[in-house]
Amino acid sequence: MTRVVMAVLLVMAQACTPDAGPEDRGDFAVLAQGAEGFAQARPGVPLVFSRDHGAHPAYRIEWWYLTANLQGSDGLEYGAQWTLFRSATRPPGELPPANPWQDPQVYMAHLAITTPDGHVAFQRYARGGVHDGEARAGATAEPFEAWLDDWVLRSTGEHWLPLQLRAAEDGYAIDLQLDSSRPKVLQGEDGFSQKHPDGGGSYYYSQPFLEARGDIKFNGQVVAVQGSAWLDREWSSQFLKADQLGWDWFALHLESGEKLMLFRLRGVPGSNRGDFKHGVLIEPSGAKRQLDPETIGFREISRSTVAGRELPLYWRISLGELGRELEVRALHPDQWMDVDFAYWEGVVTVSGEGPGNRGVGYLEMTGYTPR
Amino acid sequence: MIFSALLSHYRRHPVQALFLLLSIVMANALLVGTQLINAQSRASYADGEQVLTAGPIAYLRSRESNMPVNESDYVQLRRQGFDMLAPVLRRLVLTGEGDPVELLGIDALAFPRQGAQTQGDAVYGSQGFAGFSFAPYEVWGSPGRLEQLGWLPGERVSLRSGDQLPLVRAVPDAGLGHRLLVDIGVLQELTDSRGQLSSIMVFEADPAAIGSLLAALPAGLVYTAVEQGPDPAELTRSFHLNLAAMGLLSFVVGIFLAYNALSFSYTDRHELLRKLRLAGVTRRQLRGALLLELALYLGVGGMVGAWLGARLAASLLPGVGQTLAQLYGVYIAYPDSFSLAGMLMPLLMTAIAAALCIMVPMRQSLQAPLLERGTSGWQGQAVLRRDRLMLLAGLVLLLLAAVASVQATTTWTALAGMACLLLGAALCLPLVLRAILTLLMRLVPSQNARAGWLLADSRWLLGPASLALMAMTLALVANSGLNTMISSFRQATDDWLNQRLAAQLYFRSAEAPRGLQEWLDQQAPGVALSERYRVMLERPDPEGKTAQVELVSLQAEAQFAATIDLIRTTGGARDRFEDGQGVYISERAWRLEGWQPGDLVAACPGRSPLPVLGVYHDYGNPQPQWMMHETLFRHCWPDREPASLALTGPDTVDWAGLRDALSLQFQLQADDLVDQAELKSIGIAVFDRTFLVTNALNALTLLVAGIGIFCAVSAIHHHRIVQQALLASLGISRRERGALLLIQWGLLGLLCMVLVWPFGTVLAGYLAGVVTPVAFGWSFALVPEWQHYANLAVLAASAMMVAVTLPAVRLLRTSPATLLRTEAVQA
Repeated sequence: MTRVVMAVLLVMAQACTPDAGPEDRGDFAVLAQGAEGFAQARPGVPLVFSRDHGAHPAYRIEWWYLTANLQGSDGLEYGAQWTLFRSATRPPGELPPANPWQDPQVYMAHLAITTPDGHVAFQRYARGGVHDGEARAGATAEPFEAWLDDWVLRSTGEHWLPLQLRAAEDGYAIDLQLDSSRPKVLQGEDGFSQKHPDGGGSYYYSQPFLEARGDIKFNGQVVAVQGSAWLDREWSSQFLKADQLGWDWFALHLESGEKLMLFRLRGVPGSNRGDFKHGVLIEPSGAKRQLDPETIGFREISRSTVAGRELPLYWRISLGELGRELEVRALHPDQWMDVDFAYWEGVVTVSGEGPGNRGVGYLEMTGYTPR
Repeated sequence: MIFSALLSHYRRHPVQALFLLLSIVMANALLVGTQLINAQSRASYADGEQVLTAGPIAYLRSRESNMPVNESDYVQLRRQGFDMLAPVLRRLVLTGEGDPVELLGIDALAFPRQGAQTQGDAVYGSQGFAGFSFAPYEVWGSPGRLEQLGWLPGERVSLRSGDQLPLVRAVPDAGLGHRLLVDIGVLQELTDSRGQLSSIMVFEADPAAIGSLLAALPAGLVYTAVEQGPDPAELTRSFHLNLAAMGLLSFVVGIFLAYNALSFSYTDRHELLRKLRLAGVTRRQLRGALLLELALYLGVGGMVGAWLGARLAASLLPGVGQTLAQLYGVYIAYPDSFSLAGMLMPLLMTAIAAALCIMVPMRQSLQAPLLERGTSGWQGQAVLRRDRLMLLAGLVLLLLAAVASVQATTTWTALAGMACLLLGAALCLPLVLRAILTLLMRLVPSQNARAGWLLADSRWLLGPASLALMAMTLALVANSGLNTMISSFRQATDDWLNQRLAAQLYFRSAEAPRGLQEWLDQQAPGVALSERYRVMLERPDPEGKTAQVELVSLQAEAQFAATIDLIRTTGGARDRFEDGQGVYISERAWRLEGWQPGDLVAACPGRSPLPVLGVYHDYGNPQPQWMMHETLFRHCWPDREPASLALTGPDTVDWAGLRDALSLQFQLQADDLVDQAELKSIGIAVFDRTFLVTNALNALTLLVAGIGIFCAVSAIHHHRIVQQALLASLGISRRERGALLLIQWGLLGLLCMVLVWPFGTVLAGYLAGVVTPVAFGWSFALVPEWQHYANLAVLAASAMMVAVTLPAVRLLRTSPATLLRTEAVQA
């Protein structure tokens, strides 16, 4: 699960802002907005596939979130992130709008490409309304397709996998085939992921074992790439609580074949609430090991100034339960997502003793306010 | 020292100083105002259409002009990756008060973002978009436009249709100008246009992407680059020339008055200047001091004028925007402030004009022999000579105007001719008035001494007062000319609406409900279904350039033929037209594209070219048009679907009842049928608002003239003490003297109308028959509105009387003894 980045969208959804002062918390305050009238994520409800690959309009926010750590045929490191966010501007239950422009579903998509010496980020918006059988954005379960205009993630055959991702903008393009022989992972309690000590959460599953192959186009050149990709799917009606500020989220592919997902939701200073930590190690078999939050250490080694903010781009992560220590460092600092709801997200390298402490991955950090 | 001695005059006569300042302010204010408006509009044209600060480089439109674009075409193009596209719907709605309001419907979410850059603007940052794009929605307008409409931010405005607009929000600096912005879905629902777009905006993209877009365009869409479309600066040139001309007119009126005030102040100080020179002050020093004094007045008057002008521009700009939007479909932004640059030119012009003005009086004052006491400046012979010269100059100008009316081919020459006409009329005034007064004196029986004195004294008054009277006449001629022009134009619009809307009931859709004709035959005998067809053609004009011509059908019913008013015809035109032996062309096609009656045009595929049988008025239609009889049209274009559908029949039919019955029978929505009266009232409402600014400027010019007259009369009365003393000593009571004064000036005001009347009408004819055809390519018939002249006459006479009241009261309050004493001192 990962980067939840922003359901940000939400912002768009809600002209009325909640009580919490957004000035302390940046744009991510929207993730904590009220959820009256929407369906609520609850533990104990089994996920159903392929239905749950598609959209869940009864929930307020949802995303399809793909990151890929890629090696080019030139031997250099690349990265790609593509996300489709859905946000409902009105609770369900009313009649569907007669005018497709007034459809309550709004979509936002982000595309980011990290090259050995740079990073670009693009965003698009569209409403989900269907005009004469065609919508600019949406997500269907069978056959699976999630799209906004010509940015598309879809099944290429009868089954959910393999997938194809295609997106292009402004001279940059990504075209990846994604497949895996291993099963998807239901996060949290059978797909219910708690996001708050009080019990609020979301439905959440991942496919962290995707093998990616394809090409990246930038600066007029096309580079063949292959590597590891991670898909997160999450939907809920409330994500952050009003006293949560933002998060630091790690999705790491370790050389041992394990996948490590860690996040820390940071409490608002003075809110009398500590950080909410979460970690899970997925073994190469797909078996999941929930880590004791108390034993996970997030230590910032150094901060760098990016986009006027002091961001921790060099971390020491300790997993006391497993006796592991990993150093996580940004491939380069400039992976700022300069979009309407800005955040840092980019390729990181992991170093340490042994294959269980080395690898690559993606780090996402939100809620850091400018100095 | 010298300077303070000179200024001491104004301490004794503060009103004179005030009038001088006022005239400089007036000369400046309207000129600055119109200059600023023009400069702002030009800046807007240079920026191109801006929607939320984004300027499209092109539009995708329906191949059929005026037909909507299907929004699924837009969605499909976006899904192919053309993210430089954004949909637009433009609609005109009427508010509950009948104000036409232009609404631009957009999808704010589809607007281009520069790469990863955020809009980041406080105005339409994320929160702003949310309110705009989602329920309960907002309608955005520039503060100027909202003020014009009288809408308050946060309120909800009801439309005439009964629908409500979303919450009003004022959004400065978004380049909205006259239009209001609303979410596209909201606008579609408000105007019953679900599924429709007016066009698709194309934003900046790299040439390869534009190339792919062109290759991928669906058959029904055409790509029109902004620079291919009509150039707004070109389109509106004549409008801005007109505006500039009004500013200049007011400038001239102001300068006339400034000259008046300056010459009075110099004449009055004749004695002072003589004494100063006797005291050893050199001419050079005196000239320096007088120039310094003038500079002071210019500085203060100019600044106040510029400030007023800027205020004026700011308050008039929304009105100008309205006119531009409705006449040309061009939108300008309303800025919150103006640059200084627009104010410098008028200041410079005032300075030069003032310098020219004082040349003669200053020389007269400074060169006067030292040992000769000053004499009154209004010697009969000199004045007569001056008036004759002015008449001569006036006649030359009128001759030039006559030449220009025949020869004018550009807007500039047409307007220059108009200026000649105006000035010529003004210059003729003094001698014409003199002649009339002389004639009246002959008619007055000699025993009526008072009437005789009144007329003789009025004739004398023409000396000092003629400039002020000329200024007023100038303003009145312009005012009446414009008014007649506007009322004629309004009549033309009404005719045009009658021509276009000859049927009583219109269907919004061009497709007839099934079984309509049969139902009509049974339920409403006499009511016929009439269809109008149109097709766009590309034809070489007589010069060989390709022209887009709209070919329309004229319905077969007699009432339609009756609405066609032919300006030029060939023999038996109407019969031959009925028989399908030729076409009519619009005035625009005749004047601008150059087709002539008798020319052969390829109007019908598969048939030899048809002759042009006549030219009809097509007031203001920017598209050249050809017209053929419906039977011929259907023969030439058999597969064409009707473009509009209407019901016609005798007036005895109960149309309201028929409308209800139709709605019931065919399950039509309230909006599906529009009656003629409703459409006409929209047309006329739009028209009336289009000319709000012209009317406002017109009224302002008149106000300037009124103030001028007031200033001039006050100044003159200062010099009338002698006459009052004489009258008083002759035993004429105060009351009688007061009545004489009022009658005298009222008479002068009325007599000015003798000139205003014919020249105003000629000016209106000039505007309608020379300026408009040259500038726009179409003309309209002059409809003189006599009642307007009566109003103006009353206005002019009352302005005079009001102007004369205050100085007269002062004068009359003075006792005869004091008057005689003053007289003695002055003598």
